[in-house]
Amino acid sequence: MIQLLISRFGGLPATILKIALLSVVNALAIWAIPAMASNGSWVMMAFIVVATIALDYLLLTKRFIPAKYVVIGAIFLTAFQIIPIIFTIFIAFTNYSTGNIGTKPDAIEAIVRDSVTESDNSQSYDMLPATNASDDLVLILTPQAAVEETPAVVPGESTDPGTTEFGGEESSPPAEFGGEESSPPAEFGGEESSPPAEFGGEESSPPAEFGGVETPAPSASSDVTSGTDDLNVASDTEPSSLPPTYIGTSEGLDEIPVSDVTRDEFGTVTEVTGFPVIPDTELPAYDAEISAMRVPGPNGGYISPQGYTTAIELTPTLEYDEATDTFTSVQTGDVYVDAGRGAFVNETDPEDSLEPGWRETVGFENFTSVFTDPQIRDPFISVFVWTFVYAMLSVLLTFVLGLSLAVVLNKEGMKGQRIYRSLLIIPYAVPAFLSILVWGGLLNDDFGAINTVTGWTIPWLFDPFWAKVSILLVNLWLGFPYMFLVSTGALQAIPAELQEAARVDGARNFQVWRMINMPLLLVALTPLLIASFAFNFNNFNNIYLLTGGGPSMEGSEVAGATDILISYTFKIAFSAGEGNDYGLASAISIYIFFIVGTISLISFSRSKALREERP
Amino acid sequence: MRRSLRAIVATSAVAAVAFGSLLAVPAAQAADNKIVIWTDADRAPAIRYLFPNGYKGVPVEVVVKPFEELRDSLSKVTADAAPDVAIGANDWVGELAANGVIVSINLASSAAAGLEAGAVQAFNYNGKQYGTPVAVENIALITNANLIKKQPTTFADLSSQALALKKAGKVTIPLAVQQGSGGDAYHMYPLFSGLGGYIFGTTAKGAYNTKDIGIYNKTFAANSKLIDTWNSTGLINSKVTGDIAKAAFLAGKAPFWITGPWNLSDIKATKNLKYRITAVPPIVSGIKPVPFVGSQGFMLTKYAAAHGVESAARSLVSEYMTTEKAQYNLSAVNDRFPANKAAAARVTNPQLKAFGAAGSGGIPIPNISQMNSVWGPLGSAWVSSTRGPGAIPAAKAFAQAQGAVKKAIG
Repeated sequence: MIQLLISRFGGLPATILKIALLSVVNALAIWAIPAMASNGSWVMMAFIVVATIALDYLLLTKRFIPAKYVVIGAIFLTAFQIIPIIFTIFIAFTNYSTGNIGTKPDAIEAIVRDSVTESDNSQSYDMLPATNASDDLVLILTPQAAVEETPAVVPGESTDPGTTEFGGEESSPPAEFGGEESSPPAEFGGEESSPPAEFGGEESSPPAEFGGVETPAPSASSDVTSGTDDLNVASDTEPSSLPPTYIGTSEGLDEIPVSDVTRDEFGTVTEVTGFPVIPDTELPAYDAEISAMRVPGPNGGYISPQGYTTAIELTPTLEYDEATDTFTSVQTGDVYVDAGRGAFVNETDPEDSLEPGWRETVGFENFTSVFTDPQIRDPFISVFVWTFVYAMLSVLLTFVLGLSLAVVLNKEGMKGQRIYRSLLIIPYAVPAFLSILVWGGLLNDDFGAINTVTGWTIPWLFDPFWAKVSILLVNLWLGFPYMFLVSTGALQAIPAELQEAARVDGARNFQVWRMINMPLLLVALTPLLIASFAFNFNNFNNIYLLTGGGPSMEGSEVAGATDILISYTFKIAFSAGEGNDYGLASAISIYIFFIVGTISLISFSRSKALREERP
Repeated sequence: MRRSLRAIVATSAVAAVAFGSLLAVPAAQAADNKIVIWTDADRAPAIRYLFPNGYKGVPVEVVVKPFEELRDSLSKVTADAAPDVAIGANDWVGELAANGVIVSINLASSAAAGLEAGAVQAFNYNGKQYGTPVAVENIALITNANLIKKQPTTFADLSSQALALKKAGKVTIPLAVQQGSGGDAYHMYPLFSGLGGYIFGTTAKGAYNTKDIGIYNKTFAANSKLIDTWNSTGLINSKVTGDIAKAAFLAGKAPFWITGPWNLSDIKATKNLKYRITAVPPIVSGIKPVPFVGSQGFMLTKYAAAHGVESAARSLVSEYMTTEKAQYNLSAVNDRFPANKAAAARVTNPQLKAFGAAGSGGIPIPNISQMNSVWGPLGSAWVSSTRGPGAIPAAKAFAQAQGAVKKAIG
């Protein structure tokens, strides 16, 4: 039916469909081009432009008929297979990881930006952005009075176990934190004991402020004013003790005569003669200019705006020298150089580097570290062996069970054959994710159904050996229906004449099976078995969801007893080290690719040999 | 030939229409500067409420993402789609700062004084402030008041009451703390700290000292025999997973449960369950068991500068988000304890207040990336020393964990 449709499809509807699909492709390409241009992905952009034009030409001419089929397949192959592989290879040769994700200019910018500190005598300023006679941005700055407050938390010396404690006994208000030791804790819930108002109330009615009892929606300008009120603590209204007011420019601070300054009743500066204040509504337009403003301050630092209304004097801790491409610490004089490892490193202390770093090519380092880094190398052998055992046994067990069931259910004239077959496919139909999690619950040593019902005390998930058994059992449950299905198909494809001929020749049942059925089955199924092996070799879900790689293995901090290469890679690269190490992960995946590829290649060539033996 | 020509004309026509309509979309979007805030779904209504007309004249756009997704997205997003302000957890700060994604801010001392000092410190990385905390959360000991009439004031008391109930067959899990085969160092932390354990010491400057690992320090080593007792008496069992712990407590089959405010709604929904929320009582004299206190807050990203809204976004994070009004409203929508003390004083939800009290003295989750190397070994040490029969002695398990962490950090 479908074949008929395809063979009859043509003419005007086909042309319209072709044009419509091609238009969608073109539209997508046109949509992608500006996005890619703004990211600077020029290579991808050029590729898309060329590819789209080529595709249009190819499909709209009457020539190159075979190419019309081949090229489309090739495009999908490139997009979904080759490009990810190229990226993986590329990343494997870099130090792409947490702390090294950007470019070097980005890193320098970030270091410069963040290497400033408030010094002990840092002065905060009330700030009013204004313009001068030549319409350039200036800042009207009034030093804020020092705030009387308890000193910020000073963490204890290095022997202190905790670092910073939340809400110490003294500082916290007694109403919330103080009383919990002495007074018996309040009880919640219960039917009669608790007044419904206490619990029903807060759920049903939103808090007053949120519900809008308080007049919400302050205009932009009143927001600014109230902000200034809060931050401008303790301004003295006595004119004699008023702090001076300055005009800040990139040149420095200029004190303004008191007579030029207008203040409101709180003593807050509102206007300065000759420097019109920028109205609140226009401030957003000046945003970038304000944030870039650096006013040299009186204490050797510079005054940096912290929004539209305040500024603070900050001192740089590191200075960048473009000529030598080095950072120098202002306090210690230590010099940080680019050592070619994607970070600025202290010349005298290689452990001390600046964050962030950047992506740098590191050659074969990720590949060699598998053999040189003891943390990765030591458990590698046992993980490697278990990966093989796991993949082999998974294929073998699922195949044996699936095939046996297929043979049993293949008997002609069997009652309820369809129902049995349908029932056996159920594990295949349930999402594996779900089954694995359910099995995890069933296998729980103390609370799981299996041990509870049977009265066994098998430590299914907590003992290295039994955890491996559990993994294989669950994988058997998940995998046998597939083997059952393909075996049933292959069995039915074996011509009955062959078996009859063998029987006529005097072969017994077992001989028929061994000499006729089995070889023919293997011809059909060997590629599937190899594929199944490759799949199980990288069967991350089963391991990760059932045991998480655990239980822990003696003598290894990263790999657990049931970790296979891929879950082990995941742990090294994404959870065990310091953040995410994409470079190392890519290198190990390339290793895995070669391992699986080699095994598949050998198996395929052997299975081909098997087939050629047949006449 | 004519048909092919027609086809080309038709194609170009369709492509031209698509081209025009698609070009029109970005043109309409790139109108004005705006502050883009990434937030979780819970807090989005509060943020929209707080900025009906934008902030300081700059429009505010709220983009909702699942909370856990924000961390990765921040390091991978393209400049165009990037936020100017994002909410995040304090333990992301190390990674995000190391990636250069977030920008240090300066909290005015008056504003910082109004916040929980520990929460402010939790957003401090390498001596610089990378965010304004708006919420703190921690786990606490939830007691089934129907089963336990007299709240234990020592851990020994808790243990004997719980084990007596188990012996009488009234409960199945004496003390429900979630572990599972992978371990859960976060939920075990009150017990860990109560025995004298700590993770990293601090240097004189206040940074974490990764050379000083306290997983198996002398105090903890001396007290670690207690873990073996808990294991042999069955008080604590590593086979208890999150689901099992929850089901047992809600069914009245566990008298004690160590968990966080995220389970409050289920607790409240359980009929006839009377409960108390307290800190874990002292295990050994002189050491207060404290939980990890997680802190969530707003961070300024590096993209704000490129988007031309840095000043406004910086002020939004370092000034506005410290205020009582902002924090009270945020707390009201997602049931977390505010970091602003004045807002905290206004919290009326008694359960939330009780959680806040139980978090008193808690320490922030270290925000340095080396912390990634700690969770696994520390969790495993608990699992292998509390797995019932066949458990290895705690002294051995934790000494191993100490060694493993030391080796991993290098």
